[in-house]
Amino acid sequence: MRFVIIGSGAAGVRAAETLRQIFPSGEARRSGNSFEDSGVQVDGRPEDGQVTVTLVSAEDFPPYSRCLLPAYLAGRCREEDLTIRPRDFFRKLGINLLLGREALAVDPGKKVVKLADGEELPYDRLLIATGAASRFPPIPGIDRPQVFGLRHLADARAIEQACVQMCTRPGAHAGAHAGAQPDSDSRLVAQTRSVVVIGGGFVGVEAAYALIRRWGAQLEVTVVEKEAQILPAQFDAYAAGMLQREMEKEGIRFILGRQVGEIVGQERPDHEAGREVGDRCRVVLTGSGTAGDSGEESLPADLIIVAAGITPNTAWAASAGPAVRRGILIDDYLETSVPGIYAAGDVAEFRTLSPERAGALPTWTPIWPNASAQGRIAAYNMASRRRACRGLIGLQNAVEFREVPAIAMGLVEPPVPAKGESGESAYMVLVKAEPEQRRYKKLVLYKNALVGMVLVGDISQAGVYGALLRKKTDVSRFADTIMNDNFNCGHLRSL
Amino acid sequence: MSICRTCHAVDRCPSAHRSTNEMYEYCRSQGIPTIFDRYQSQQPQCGFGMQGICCQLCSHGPCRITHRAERGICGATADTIAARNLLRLAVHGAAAYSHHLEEAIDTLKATALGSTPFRIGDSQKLQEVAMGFGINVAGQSERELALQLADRLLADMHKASREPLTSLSLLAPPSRREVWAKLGVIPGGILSEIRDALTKSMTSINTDPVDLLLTAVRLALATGYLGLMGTITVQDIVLGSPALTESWADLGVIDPEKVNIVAHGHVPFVGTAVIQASRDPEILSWAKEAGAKGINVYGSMCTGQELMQRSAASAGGFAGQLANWIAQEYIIATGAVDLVMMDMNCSIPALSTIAEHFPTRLVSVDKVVRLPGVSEHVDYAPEQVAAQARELIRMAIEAYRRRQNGYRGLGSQGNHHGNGRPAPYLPPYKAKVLAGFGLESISRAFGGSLEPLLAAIADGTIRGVVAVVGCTNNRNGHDTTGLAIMQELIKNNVLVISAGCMSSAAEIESLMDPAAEARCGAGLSRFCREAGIPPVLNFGSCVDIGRIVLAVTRLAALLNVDPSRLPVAVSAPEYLEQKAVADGIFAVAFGLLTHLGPVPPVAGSSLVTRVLTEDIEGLLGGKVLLEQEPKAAAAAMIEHIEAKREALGL
Amino acid sequence: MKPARELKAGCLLGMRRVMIDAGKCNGCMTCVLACAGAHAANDKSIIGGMMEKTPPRIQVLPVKGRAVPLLCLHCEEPACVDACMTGAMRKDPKSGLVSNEGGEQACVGCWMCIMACPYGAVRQHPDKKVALKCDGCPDREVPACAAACPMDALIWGEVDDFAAGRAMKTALALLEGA
Ligand SMILES: Cc1cc2nc3c(=O)[nH]c(=O)nc-3n(C[C@H](O)[C@H](O)[C@H](O)COP(=O)(O)OP(=O)(O)OC[C@H]3O[C@@H](n4cnc5c(N)ncnc54)[C@H](O)[C@@H]3O)c2cc1C
Ligand code: SF4
Ligand code: SF4
Repeated sequence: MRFVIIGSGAAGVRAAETLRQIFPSGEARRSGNSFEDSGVQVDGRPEDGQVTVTLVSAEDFPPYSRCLLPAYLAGRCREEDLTIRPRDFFRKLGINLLLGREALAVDPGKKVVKLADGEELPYDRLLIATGAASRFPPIPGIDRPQVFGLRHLADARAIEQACVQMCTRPGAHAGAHAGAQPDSDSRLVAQTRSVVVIGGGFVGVEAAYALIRRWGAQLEVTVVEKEAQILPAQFDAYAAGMLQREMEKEGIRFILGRQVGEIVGQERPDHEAGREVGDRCRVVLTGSGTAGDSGEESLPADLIIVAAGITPNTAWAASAGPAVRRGILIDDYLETSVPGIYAAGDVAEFRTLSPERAGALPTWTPIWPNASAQGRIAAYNMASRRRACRGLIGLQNAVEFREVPAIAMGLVEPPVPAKGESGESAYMVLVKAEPEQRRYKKLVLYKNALVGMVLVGDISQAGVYGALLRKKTDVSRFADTIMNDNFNCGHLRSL
Repeated sequence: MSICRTCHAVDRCPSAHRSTNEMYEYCRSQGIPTIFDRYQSQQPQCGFGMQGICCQLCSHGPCRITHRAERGICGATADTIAARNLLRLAVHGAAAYSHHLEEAIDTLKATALGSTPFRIGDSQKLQEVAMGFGINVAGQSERELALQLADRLLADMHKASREPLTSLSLLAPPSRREVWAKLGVIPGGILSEIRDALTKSMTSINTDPVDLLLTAVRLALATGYLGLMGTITVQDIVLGSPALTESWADLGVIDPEKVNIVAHGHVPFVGTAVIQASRDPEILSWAKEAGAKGINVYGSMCTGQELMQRSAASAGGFAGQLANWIAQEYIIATGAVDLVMMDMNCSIPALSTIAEHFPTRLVSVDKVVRLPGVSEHVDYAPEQVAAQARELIRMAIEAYRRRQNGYRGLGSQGNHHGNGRPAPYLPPYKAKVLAGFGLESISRAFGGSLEPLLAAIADGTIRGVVAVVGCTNNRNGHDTTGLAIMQELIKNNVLVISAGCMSSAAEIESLMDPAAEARCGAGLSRFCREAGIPPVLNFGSCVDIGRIVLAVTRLAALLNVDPSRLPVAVSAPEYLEQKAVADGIFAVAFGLLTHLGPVPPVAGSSLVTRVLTEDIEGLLGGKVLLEQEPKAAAAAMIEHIEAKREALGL
Repeated sequence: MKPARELKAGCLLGMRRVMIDAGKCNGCMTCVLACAGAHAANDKSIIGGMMEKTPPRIQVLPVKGRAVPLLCLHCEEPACVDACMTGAMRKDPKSGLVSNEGGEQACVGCWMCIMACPYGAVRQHPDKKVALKCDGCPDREVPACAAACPMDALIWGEVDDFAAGRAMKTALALLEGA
């Protein structure tokens, strides 16, 4: 049995290791965990029920966490700290790790994956776990050299290098991470550089926070968000406001309710500073902005980070012909419309809202925990241990800015009733705001079930609320305690 | 939990009072943790401690009794540990009461010598009691009598434990004295009893749970007849016996434009002196100079009750009762109080923490009261109290000036002004109170005799009387259990008398307003309407439990029965500290059914629990009722009352 | 979902675990002190933990006036491991213990595990930016909390069907949404 996994992100790695837990050390033994016992169909190939697990990645770097890229940019961890498994983990487990090998196409008839270097990888079960790529909105000038996405280590390296060059003397320690402290004696660093982050979502805000923490003295960082609040997909306006204020204290500037219309090259390159990144450009803004907006039409930018969402990496697999909507469509068992081909993680989208996922939970939830869980459960199904994947929560995120942790899950703002609609809403919102303590708690209930929550400051019970949310538990039994500071999982059971 | 439903909080309210709930929310919004937050952060609390089976006396400990360790390292059982711990609690109560009594006696002496601002307030009582103590009153001056009585009382306090207490033989019903004598629990001088009880409760001296409990009874009797009844008698003689008077309660009585002084604690002498001084035109002019409209002296806790019940006489001008124990921090959090005088007992350490956020000046006015963070002391000395009162008012005026510089009054946007201190925050609630009940004032209300009350009890218009007394406690929500019980009782035509923090609770919820007649059963309602009294009678402070005992004693004498046969019960539904433990044991020893909440730390010993809730009834006539659900507790007391009525043939 | 069945299918049976019998807990927090002590750097006693101010990993939670001890259940399919974005949180294949300490990958304190654990068993370290949870006392014969509990509310033993059922009661109630 040959398992091939394309993409070595959260989903791919978790799938590979789970397969090796089911089929230890590459051999189907006649022990409790043997794969005959598991009832896997062997198709006659390969002989002796030999199991291989191959993990392929286009990136030439051991499997790492892209969630740590902001920490890397902030100078808080080095490249080698990004890896998510010990050095010899894959070898020890008997996983063939093929790095720097891009997959170009799948031939479902021949059951092979075609790699960019021409090699054809035969498979019995294939997992597509190719994640997603930064989405670059169609803005004129978006292809200028000062514009970066932030998804891969390569992106982070490039941004980091640009910052080093902008903020230090030519050649001084460029690239030597963390140690590259700006040289304060140099008159050449006198000029502040401007960074514009397009998109005030999770990645944009994290990137801005990372840059300001490392380069705060040299960089002006502005985040432009088209909605009236930051983190619009995760947090409600109140919590977003709290987090925004924390970040503003660090010196980040936010322009809300306005969009970037164009990026124009304008200023001369700063030869004296030995800049190599390219000309300074201007980011042209449209829209009128939220209250208090300074009304400026454009911003100077030496560096632009685009964090305007992601696009699933589905194109390469199109040759296999799976149904695709936003991502590759999967059923509750993570199988695509092509038998034997599975998908998991950011690249995958559930075909339907199954009863378990109905309600506030969307079909596509591109976050790390979901990618991991999907990878793990896909592995079970690939090994013919049928297991439905359920209970994934819609967007959820944990952030921490200036020691104020915050977690949001599910539907944090109940839909506004349509005009003319009257009567009691089926939604109930419980709120406790203590801005002085930088604490905020909000629960959104729909017909006695928790469908969304925001916690700022005290996040200790986030997982318990999350469990209630996933399980659509009827919370009316503990309605009197659910908002208490002391609410905990002990309240859920009858002693 | 709470009977207050005024806000939109999703949490259950911590208090039964709107004002307290609002103050709690306000403090929270200011980022200031208060009692209810600290209560939450103490959860969960240790079950060994709650059950009284953790012993920390020697350095082998703490020892805890569990199913696999049925004895402590010395061999003590759960019964020994629980009984010993209980006795130790009672000793503390007895000691604090004795301190209070000694201060009262000193004041009596100084007053007799003319060196206090007080004048003998009840010379009839002075005569009666002096006679009781065997003093030849004929031809003696007030001054002579007072001096001699003071000496007799001091001598009674200092008696050896083998010399029977005179106060007890003087005041206790003969039938009770017989019962106590049989059990060998007639105490001697209270100081000796305290010494004996402390000695016995040292590790490895007396480890017999039954003897320890009897020691607690003995100690409680000494506490009752000296600490309670001795103290109130002396206070009545010096400051006057309570007379019916109208007053107000709750935070809404505070007038932010005046110099605001709060008398907080239990001992009324400094408070009374300050009220009297505040009426002095010269002192008033100081306040006016500072821009204040006047000087107000308010009460908090039991000192407030003492002042209120004498506000027709020595404490004339009393501005109203603010709150009880649980709510003491919120008095300061109003931001409108200039000075709090803390006399003996019940000033929580958190007062000084909360005072950091507000302009309030904290001053201890008793040499035993010291708090970290409080550096100003004007320790009560009877001979100097006139000057001390002026000094305290001067300090308050100083604080008032600072308060005025700190903010520019109410109503402007935002809560913070000037030096960052919040503007006053005053919940706008206040309730009318009829206060000053006691034997004398009740008979006066009925035209000179207790007969109408006895008749109403006899014909069943009133089923009986329950004294709902003692502290306030947060375990079941501030004042919530106490108020629920009171309301349940009056609905069932049981007259309630109240003293201590429970009295504050009833005041704030208007149960001591004659209009509360509307909340009673038909019989009690009619009786109250006709007599013009509320269904919950304000007997004053917690030491005034002595006043209740004297009233019950008189009732029993009039009916010619032992107190244990009366349709009467006691409830301390939210007992908190050690004085209340001594009171509770006294009530049982007096022969009364005594409801206690929360469950005192004895539940870990089946023997102690059984003795207190069952066996003791055979010995003393009274017993402890531990029903914690308010309605059920009220029902049990009513059932008890009905049984007693039946036995009396009523 | 039927975790009880999964338990059987998984390898938990026969393993030794701390099982919680919450009804017996007296709220004395001895377990909390013992846990802190066991994780002290030098003097691994209750006093040592108090002197070094080591944070405890077990919690005793207030539940309507009662105390309920809570520690990591070292789940068969740990939500925290799925959620951990650095790979620090992992389940040891041999002992089955779930921990974010001692591995090659370091915890960065992103709180994803806190968000994921349905029991609230993971907390923020009070002083460092790392998640703090029960490590199962891998170097001790009996985990410190279970050894200290005077009430037998925490039982260290082999997970048999009965015990697993009892210990997982909380889990069941939670996951079933009961
Ligand atoms: C900066 C940043 C911060 C984030 N922070 C968080 C966070 O705090 N919490 C959270 O829950 N989520 C976070 N996310 C999202 C999270 O990283 C993703 O949800 C997660 O990585 C998805 O994992 P995956 O395995 O599906 O895909 P990916 O991690 O995207 O992995 C896909 C892999 O496939 C490779 N690949 C793609 N195409 C091919 C091909 N044709 N051939 C071979 N290999 C290919 C890619 O190079 C990549 O290595 C963050 C994302 C970013 C960018
Ligand atoms: S921390 Fe929570 S999710 Fe992780 S193993 Fe422990 S109980 Fe399970
Ligand atoms: S030691 Fe045992 S009884 Fe005490 S709190 Fe811990 S679990 Fe509960």
